[in-house]
Amino acid sequence: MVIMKKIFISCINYYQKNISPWMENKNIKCKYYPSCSEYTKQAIEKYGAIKGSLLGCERIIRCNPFSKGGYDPLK
Amino acid sequence: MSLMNFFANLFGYILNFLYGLIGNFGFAIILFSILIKVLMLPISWAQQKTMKKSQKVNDEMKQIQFKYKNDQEKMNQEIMALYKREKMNPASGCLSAIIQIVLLISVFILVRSPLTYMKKIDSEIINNSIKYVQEQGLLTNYKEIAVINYITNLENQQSVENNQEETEQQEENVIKDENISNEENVNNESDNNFNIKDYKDELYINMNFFGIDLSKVPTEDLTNIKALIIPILYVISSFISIRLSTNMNNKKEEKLIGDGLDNKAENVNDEINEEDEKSEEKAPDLNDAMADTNRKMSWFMPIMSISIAMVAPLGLALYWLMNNILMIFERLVLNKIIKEEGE
Repeated sequence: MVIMKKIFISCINYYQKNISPWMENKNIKCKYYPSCSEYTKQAIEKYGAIKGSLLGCERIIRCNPFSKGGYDPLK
Repeated sequence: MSLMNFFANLFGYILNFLYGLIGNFGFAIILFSILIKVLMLPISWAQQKTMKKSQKVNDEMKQIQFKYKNDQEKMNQEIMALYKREKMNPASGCLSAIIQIVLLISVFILVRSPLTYMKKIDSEIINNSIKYVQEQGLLTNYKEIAVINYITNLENQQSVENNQEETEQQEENVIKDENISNEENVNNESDNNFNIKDYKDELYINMNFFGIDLSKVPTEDLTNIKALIIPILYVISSFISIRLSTNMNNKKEEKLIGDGLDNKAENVNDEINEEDEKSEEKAPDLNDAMADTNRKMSWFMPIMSISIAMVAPLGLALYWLMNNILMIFERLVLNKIIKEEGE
């Protein structure tokens, strides 16, 4: 389980470093702060790989064009 | 995976309809990309508008950024509060980004297996023809593409043969007869009476696009310079679109500073300048650094997408190329319209 956690988090780190800036360039941005990837990372660190990922998915679904966005820290 | 297959199927219906209208795979892809763009127009229109609106709150934003430059957490919190006050949010959100990626992969699946997804041919026929082509030793990484290639070659051979003089034809007929008997042998070996020629019309897709064969994979045959034209154009269009977006961002900032639209903004800038000399952490430098990383990092994905375009059938590169061109076009036109509306 610890390995899963590490793999997930390094994937997110890689995404944040390499892919996210490019998407920002194309005006694809997260509506929330902290961003969905950061939120998921924190959630995985706090609740483990499975529950954390689920929380991240839930957040990404909330982050749709019709939502208002805003400040939404991990609980 | 099934979600992507679903979209690939859906797009297959549309693409097949367009292909039925024009009878050319390349033009069908062009029409398809235009159609998708038009369907998405309302969303990009709304987005472009909120982007313009966000320029209005830009100086307020700068103030916040300056005020909380040492506290990222607080800064972002304040920015989100500002968006809430103004009842706007310039971001499109993460879900739409994921949907776009899903769509991109669906198009890849569709272009990779056009017989399954576009022509909706029975999988048994496809499997049999794949087996047949495999026995001929002509199978490539993209099985269905290899089948289409084989069929196209058959067609070409036939038309060449028809044009040849009678004497030659007679000679060739002898060879052809031998070929046929060979093929029959092969069929007998594989223990089924499947003859690929019976399904020739069904399996045929006209992939000829201005002399470029869209079923070609650039890396499979590097000597084929024609196959490189579309990927090169794709690279150029990517450059232009990246340039365009960074240019627009720069212009925004220049305008804010240069025009001195708002005294506040000027004051902020003055303060920043004064601060420059004193402190080490400077707001403009922070911005510059951010822009710098953006410029550096923005190379990862273009390189990635170019390499995908090189190992996939050219139809995919053509779709991406059209997508880029339309995006550039859309951005320029929408910007102009919004500007005129503002004046």
